[in-house]
Parts: sequence; C-alpha cells; structure tokens
Amino acid sequence: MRKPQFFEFGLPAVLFHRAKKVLRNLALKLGGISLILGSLLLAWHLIIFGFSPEPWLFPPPNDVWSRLGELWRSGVLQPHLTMTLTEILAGYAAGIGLSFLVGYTISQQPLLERLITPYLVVANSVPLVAFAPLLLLWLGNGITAKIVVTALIVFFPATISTINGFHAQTAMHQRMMRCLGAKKWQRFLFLELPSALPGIFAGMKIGAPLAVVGAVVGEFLGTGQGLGHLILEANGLMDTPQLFVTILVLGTVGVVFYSLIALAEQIFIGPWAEKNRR
Amino acid sequence: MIKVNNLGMHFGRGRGHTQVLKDINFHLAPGEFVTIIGRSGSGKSTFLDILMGLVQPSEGTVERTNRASMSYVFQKPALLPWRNVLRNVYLPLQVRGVRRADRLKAGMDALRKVGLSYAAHLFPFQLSGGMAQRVAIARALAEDPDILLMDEPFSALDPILRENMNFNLLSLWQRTQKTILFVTHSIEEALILSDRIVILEGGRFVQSFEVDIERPRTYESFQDPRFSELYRQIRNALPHQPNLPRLAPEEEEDP
Repeated sequence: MRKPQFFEFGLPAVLFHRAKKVLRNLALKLGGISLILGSLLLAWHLIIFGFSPEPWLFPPPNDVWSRLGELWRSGVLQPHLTMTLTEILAGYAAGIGLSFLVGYTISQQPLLERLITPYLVVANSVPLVAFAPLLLLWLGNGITAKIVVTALIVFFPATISTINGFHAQTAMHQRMMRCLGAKKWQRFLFLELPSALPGIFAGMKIGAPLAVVGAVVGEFLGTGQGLGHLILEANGLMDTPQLFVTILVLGTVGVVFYSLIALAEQIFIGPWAEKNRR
Repeated sequence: MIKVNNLGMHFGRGRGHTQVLKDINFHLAPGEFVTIIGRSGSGKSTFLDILMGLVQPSEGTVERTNRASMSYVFQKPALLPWRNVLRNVYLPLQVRGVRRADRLKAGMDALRKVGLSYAAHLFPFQLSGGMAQRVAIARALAEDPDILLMDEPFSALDPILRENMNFNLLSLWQRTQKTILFVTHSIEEALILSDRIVILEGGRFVQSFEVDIERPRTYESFQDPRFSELYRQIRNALPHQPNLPRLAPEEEEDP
C-alpha cells in the first residue's frame, strides 16, 4: 500500500485546498461587486443627467475621476495615503494585539471578567471622538497620537469579541483534552485558540472599518498629513471633487482591508464555523 | 490489568455530603470485555474518571499492572470541528509529541481498523453520528492503548445503528484483543458484548454476572436461551417500578 503523505492530509494541505476554494468564491464575489459598482456609476450619471446639479455641490463622475488622476500624477495623494495606511495598520495591529492579550487574560479569570467587562462595555459606547482631543493634547500632534486613537477604537469591540471567543470551548472538549493528558500550552494551542478563532475574527472584522474611522478622526484633529487632512483641505477650498476622491479612496481602503480579514477568516477557520452557525 | 481495592468517593461535607462510590473492589483481566450497568447517577462515569486518573478517589486504591495505558471513548464523539478526521484521530499522538510521519501512519492504521480510511479528509460536520463515533474510537485506538474505557459510546445512536456498532466493536475487540471496560444502560448491549457484567447500584457493585453465551456472537446470539435467561436475572437485579411484578423465570417446556 502507498505510504500516506503528510501534505495530503496535514494542516498545509487543508489550508491549501481551502485557499483554492476561497479564491474561486472570491472571483465570483468580485464579479458581483463589479456589477453593483457599475449600477451605482450609472445611477450617478443619471442623477447628473436628470437634475444637472452645480459641480461644486455634486460633481459628475468624470470630474472626480480626472481629479483623482491629477492628485495621483502630481504626487499629492500618495504621501497622504501612505500616512493614513500606516496609521490604520499600526493602530489596528496594536489594537488587535492588545485585545487578544487582554481578552484572553480576562476570559481565564472569572472574577476579573465580572469586574472589567462592564467598563469595557461603557468604554465601547462612548464615542472616541470625545477622547481624541485629549489624546492629541497628551501625545502631541505626531503620528503616535493617531495610532493610539486608531488602536483604542479597535480595542474595545475586539476585546469583547475575543472574550466571547475564548468562552466558546465546550466542557466535553476540555474533558477530552484532560483525558489525553494535554499540558496547558497544548490545551491552548489545540483547543482554546482554535475554538476562539471565530470570536477573534469577528472582532477583527468589526475593527477593520473602525480602524479607518479612527485614523481619519485623529487626522481631523491634528494638522499635517493623511487623507483626513486632505478632506479638511478640500472642505476649506470648496473642492468637492477632491472631497469625493478622498471619500472614495477611504471607502476603498476600508473595503479592501475588511475583505482581506474576511478572506483570512475563511482560510483559517474554514467551513466548520459557518456550518456551526446554521 | 487493573485492580481496584476498597474504592470510595464522596463529595462535599456536612449536609451537602454525597457518597458516590463505596467499598468497590474490582479487577479487569487482560483481554477481558467487562460491562458496567447502572442507572443514571449511579456513579459509573465517576468510576471511569477515577480509573483514568482524572479524579482522585476519597478512599481506596487503583493498581495498574505494568503501567497499562488507557484511552477513553466518551458518550459523544467530542471531535474537534476544525480538524479533519485524520487530524482528529492523531491528536493524542500530537499531544504526546510523536513525529508527524509516525502519527500520520498510526492515524491511518487506526482509521483502517474502524473501516473509515476513506473518510480521512472529511470534517466532523460531514460525518453521520455512527461515523463520528467510529472516528472517536479510532482516536482512542491511535495511541494503541492496553485498555479502552467506553462511557456509553453508542447511547446517542438509533437502535439499528447501535446494534451494528456493537457488532463492529466486537469484531474490533476480537482483532485487537484490547481489554475493554464498557458502560451502558442497555442490558441487551451488555449481553451481546461482554464476558462479564457488573451492576452498579447506589455507588456499590451489587452483583456480577459471567456471560457464557458462545463467541463469536452474531445476530443469532439474541435468540440464545442463555441470553434471555441472563436478561431476566440482570433485569431483576436492577431496581424495578414499585407496582410492577418482577420477570418470571422462563417456563421449561414439557419433554
């Protein structure tokens, strides 16, 4: 009999086959998204054609498109985009990393959880825009304050979601791991972490668009660079096409970021979480 | 293989004191198939937990000759839903730090023993109840244990499937010659499987029955006169509804 190979059944094989399936689904999804985008663009043209609004109030798609080209060719857009992306990625990584550590620690200590969770819920319900000026006052006008604002806006919902994730393991599975004589780190690696992944990814997906909001809120309050700054500048100059360009770029960044997290979720968690939800 | 001496287990103190097991003396010989029958809450699962070393007994000792290894099969398959069948089966070996190639081979061997090598790549949600329980048995076999502890492993299955699973288990036991300690509520299941049946009632082993029905056992074994005779004896040894009469012994036919 042929000797079985690890790559046929092991984790790499599972992830490879899953990635193939996910990418095939993604191609279908992209087709659908293009169709919707095309329809929106058509609706935009129809509004311009039907109501002929002032270009400074509601610019036609062509104006926005050519303004995007101008901003790109003149090299104005890139540094702002880079700055905002840096803030988003750094703030998101810090927020998610911290939420994982805090969420796991809290989930292991019932007393701590009872004491801290109400504060997390309160902190989550206070708009961060109210805190942002304070953070800028304490941390200065540089990139650090904006990263902290982004990290904080991501942190609270992701932490609550992570705590719920770590509570998802069943007593039956815990007993099974004890029977196997698994050590604490093995229980974490083979049971606790995988069963918490749906919760962790849910927090990461909630956090992805919030990170974009956090970065722009920080940029609104501090002068300098970033797409938020570009919005303020366009607003001051009544440059509506630039305003549209910035909003579209930010929207695209948010959608792409969220989609990448969702893609990673599908590859790492696979079909079982979806099946369990049904 | 296992010797239990004067075992006792209680929880709580004062008014909350509950005696779960009391004065239990028990032995399990190599290659033997022993079944424990008892009502819910009679202490069956606690007894298995003590044997497995998950719980320390309040009194008495458990001796294992030659450090006999044990695996546990639960009432439910307890498969990890994010692992495919093969990765579930070799999990015990992964926990013990066995090399990838070796655990893959042992996992496939265990799956072959339960007739599921074709399902290695499937995920638990793609399996039927019977298949999932066979995967759980394969997981227990992957470590090649000396003793299998099985806590009502087929109780969640429908009666026909359960019967088939019993014969699968019998064939597996005959091939592997493992020592099996099985827990069930079903007298029929106990009779078709076991060499010996022990009745656990109120935390004590109250009676023991040698099952001298001829092996290998088949569907015909249900018709064996000894089967119905032992069934009556065991049923009468178990608690009855107060108003119902006990089963009468089978009348002997006139010569």
